[in-house]
Amino acid sequence: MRPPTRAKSPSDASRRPPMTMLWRKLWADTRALARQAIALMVLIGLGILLYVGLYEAYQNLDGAYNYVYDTTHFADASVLVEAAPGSLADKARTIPHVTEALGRVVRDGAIIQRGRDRERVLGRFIGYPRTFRPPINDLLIIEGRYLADAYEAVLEHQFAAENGYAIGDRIKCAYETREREFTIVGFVASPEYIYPVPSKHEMFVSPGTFGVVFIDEDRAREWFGVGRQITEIHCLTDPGHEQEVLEKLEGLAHSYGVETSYVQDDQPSKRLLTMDQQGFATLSVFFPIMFLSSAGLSLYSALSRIVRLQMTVIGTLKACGFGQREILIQHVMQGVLVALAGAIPGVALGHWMAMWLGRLYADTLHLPLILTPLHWDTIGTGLFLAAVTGLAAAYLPARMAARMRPAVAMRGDVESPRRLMAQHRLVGWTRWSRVAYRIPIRGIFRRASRTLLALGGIAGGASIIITTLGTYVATMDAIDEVLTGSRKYEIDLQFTGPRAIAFGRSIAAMPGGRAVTPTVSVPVRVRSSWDSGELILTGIERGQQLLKVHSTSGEFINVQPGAIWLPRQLANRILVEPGDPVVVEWVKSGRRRRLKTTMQVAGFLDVAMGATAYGEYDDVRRALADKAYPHSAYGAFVACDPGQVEAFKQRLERSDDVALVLTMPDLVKQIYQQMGLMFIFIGVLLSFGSLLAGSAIHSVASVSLLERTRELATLRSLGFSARSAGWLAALELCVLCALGLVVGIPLGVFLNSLYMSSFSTENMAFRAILPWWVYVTTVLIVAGLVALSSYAGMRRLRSMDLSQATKAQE
Amino acid sequence: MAGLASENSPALIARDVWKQYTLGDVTVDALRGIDLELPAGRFVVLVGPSGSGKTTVLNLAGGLDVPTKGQLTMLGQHLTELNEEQLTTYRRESVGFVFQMFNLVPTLTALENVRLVAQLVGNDELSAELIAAVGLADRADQLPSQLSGGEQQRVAIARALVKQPELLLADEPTGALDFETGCEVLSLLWEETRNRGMTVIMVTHNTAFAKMGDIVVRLRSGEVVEVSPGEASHPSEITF
Repeated sequence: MRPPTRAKSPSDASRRPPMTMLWRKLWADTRALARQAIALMVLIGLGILLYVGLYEAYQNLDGAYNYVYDTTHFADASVLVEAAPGSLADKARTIPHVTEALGRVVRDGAIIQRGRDRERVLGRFIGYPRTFRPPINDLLIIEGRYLADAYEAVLEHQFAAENGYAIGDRIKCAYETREREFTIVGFVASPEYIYPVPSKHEMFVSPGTFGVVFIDEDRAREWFGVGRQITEIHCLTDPGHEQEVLEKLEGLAHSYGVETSYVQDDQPSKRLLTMDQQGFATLSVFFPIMFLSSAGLSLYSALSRIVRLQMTVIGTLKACGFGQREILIQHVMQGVLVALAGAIPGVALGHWMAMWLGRLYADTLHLPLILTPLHWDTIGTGLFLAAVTGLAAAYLPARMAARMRPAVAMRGDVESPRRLMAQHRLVGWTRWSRVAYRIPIRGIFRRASRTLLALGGIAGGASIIITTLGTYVATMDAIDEVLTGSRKYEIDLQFTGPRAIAFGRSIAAMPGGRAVTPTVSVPVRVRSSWDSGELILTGIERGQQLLKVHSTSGEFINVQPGAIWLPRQLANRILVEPGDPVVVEWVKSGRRRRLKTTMQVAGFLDVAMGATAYGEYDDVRRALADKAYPHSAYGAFVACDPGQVEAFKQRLERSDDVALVLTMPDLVKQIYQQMGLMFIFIGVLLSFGSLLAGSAIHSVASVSLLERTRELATLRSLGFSARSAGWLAALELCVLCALGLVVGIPLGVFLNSLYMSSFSTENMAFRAILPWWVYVTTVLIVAGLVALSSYAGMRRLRSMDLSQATKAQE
Repeated sequence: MAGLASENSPALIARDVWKQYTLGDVTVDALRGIDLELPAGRFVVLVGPSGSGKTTVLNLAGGLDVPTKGQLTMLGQHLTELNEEQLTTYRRESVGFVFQMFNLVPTLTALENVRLVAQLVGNDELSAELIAAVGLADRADQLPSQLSGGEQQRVAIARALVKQPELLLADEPTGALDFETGCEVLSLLWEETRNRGMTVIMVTHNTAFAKMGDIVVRLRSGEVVEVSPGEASHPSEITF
């Protein structure tokens, strides 16, 4: 039997006035302020669009990478050795928490491509079983098929695309002096080379100059002359046991000379991708927060205005019996609904933007696939953020409305004694100006809260513009430093070994040659008493003029034997000062071969990109490179006539002594390829920043016009022309914008430096530089937006119905 | 045609003046082809029930609005032929307004509200004199929010007079005031305009105040139903 329900008493009904009419009123109020409501929806929608767009793009990338990692069984722990018996893989399987182990043979050499743009590029040759697919680090077939024959090869697809290979083409590979040819049967994506870099120190090796060739493992062993030995061992582990397994694996491989080892997260390609993703994550939080803060302020401002305009109505409603709760809910809901109405299209457009960015990213980086599912968690968070913004913005005005005493409310917007006193003081301060100009000046101080909110919106927009332009400047500064600031040569050569140095010296004598200086690079670990860091140590000759690297004091560095110049980021991390000793050790030092030397810190480098330290050429060569050979990169910088670059390149690529020829145009292409996406982001963010500033300015301008409808109409009735009345309104807007810029510019400078530091990594240190034109552009954008808003305002003033407007409620 | 013979040239000549408002799908005739001629230098009172078209006549006369159809000549100027710029000049040089809700600029003091218009027409020296004339010399530095309704309307009258217009238009100037204050304000308006010999058109729905007019125009449903001579009584003499 159902329990008896309590009958509704008349007192219940009287305690709960019907909300239906209040909801209708809410709808009607919002419609009456349609323009402003739409402006606020746009603002909140943009914030949510940015959040959903950027964060989903981040999730899409993450999802795509993880899909590749999962389907190809990307190794959880890997150890690279000089050479070890194949049985090491069987031993590895006995390590607790290892679920699978794979040994393989890998060697680096050159790919010779006569008749193609680049005749010789770096090659990495990896032996894979042809009778079955590898259980670890499998390949994703993009086109063609997997290996079926000892004379076949599959190519990493980005390299293949960059160099114009087709299925069925032949590819010639050279390891030391032995060359082999293979027939290409497929293009593949490898989890180890989604971002194709040979090591974590080599950031600027593009897909075009570094090719990974997967060949039959038996043929690879025969070619490399390693018998049944392996050079790499990879393991899959139980989740959470990667580090533990790696340590045990290193122990097993210790006697075979461990060159390097890493867990999946430290694998060079994944590490660079993670750095990229971190940039995305920073973007997807930093800018939406700025947007939503500004949107919240604008919403607060607009809702406060609605409450002020409706004071008599609120008083009447309360007099009729509506309680504080109903009034509070109604006004809070108004804010929440406006925010959600903006957020819904924002979410939809954000999802579209995420798909667009994902495709763009995939195209730019030649990613094998991109997944674009609906991320309900992000969509939910976006809607929640919008609702919270609406709620936070509406609560104070709603509370003010709800707590108003009906008698006070029905009297309308009565000036408070404090405000009156402030206005009175203002009367004295502004007596110097012509009476008409006192209106806009005093208008600014008429409602401090409104003025502060307007300033907040304009300052927010200006600071986003500055931060965005700052990002562009920092990026260009980094590129400029890499391309023109330090490099005074046309060609960066990498030789196949130290014996080619003599050949290098002769290059300057070639037609069009101007100068040549040898270089040598070794991957090293620099250790202080506190910490250590890995980077490339490059040896350059004393007095050479082809590489001019700046120190943090602004002068060019001068290398000396026994001294090392460190990037400031690393120096800061390992806590060293000039003059301190550091241990410099070859990163592949093992039990059999430990190469290390002690050097003195000469000073710090002011470099934006890359992790490179510099020492004196002979010093680096003798102490490390010659002993670490062939793991060192011997090369040279070549200066030649700009018109001779291509001829030089072709001649050098035909030489067996040369492993890689990287010209400045190649480098420019590589850098812009990597930075292309950044420029698109900058464009998008600059547009959004301008939109935010525009929305804030438009909101200020329209509130100013709406609140002053009667005042402006009266001025026109008294004989002021539409233009002069409009100028008075515009003047107030100009002063507000000027004040907004006074706040926004320092805020932008601060946010720019904060953003740059959060965006920087150990390999990329962006400088927070803001040249004069950034400020000028910001001021011009804001001034342009003011002019647009003022023009729109003047048009509205011109078409104003004076007879109605002079009776409008203030 | 309704009209009143006068030896003066007419201040207002309306010939078949229509004013229509469109509210959604509905068109409302606020004025239905009125014909009216009012002489200059007189105190004219427009009376009629709500919706009769009084305020519309006033708005058209002041150049705040334009007729939908017909000819309207004010002070010898054909308002229907003026562009926006010329209408602004007409309002600036020839017309003074007194609104029901005073419409003072809230951020300017009483004196500054008057000076605002005085500076517009280049007649600044009169401002203080007029503020004194309306009895607010000691409150000249107060903001509108610190003044009573009657005081605010006095400021509005001073503001309307400072440009020494040929025509003063008052739309329910006592509508927001209590009776006694209303009488004081009307007395001030009556005296100041008579002393200056200006044409006044005042809208009121209070028929008792019609007695202060030289001419009384009665409107109903957008039509002029009667134009009659008024008693030209001083507001203080009016009994209710």
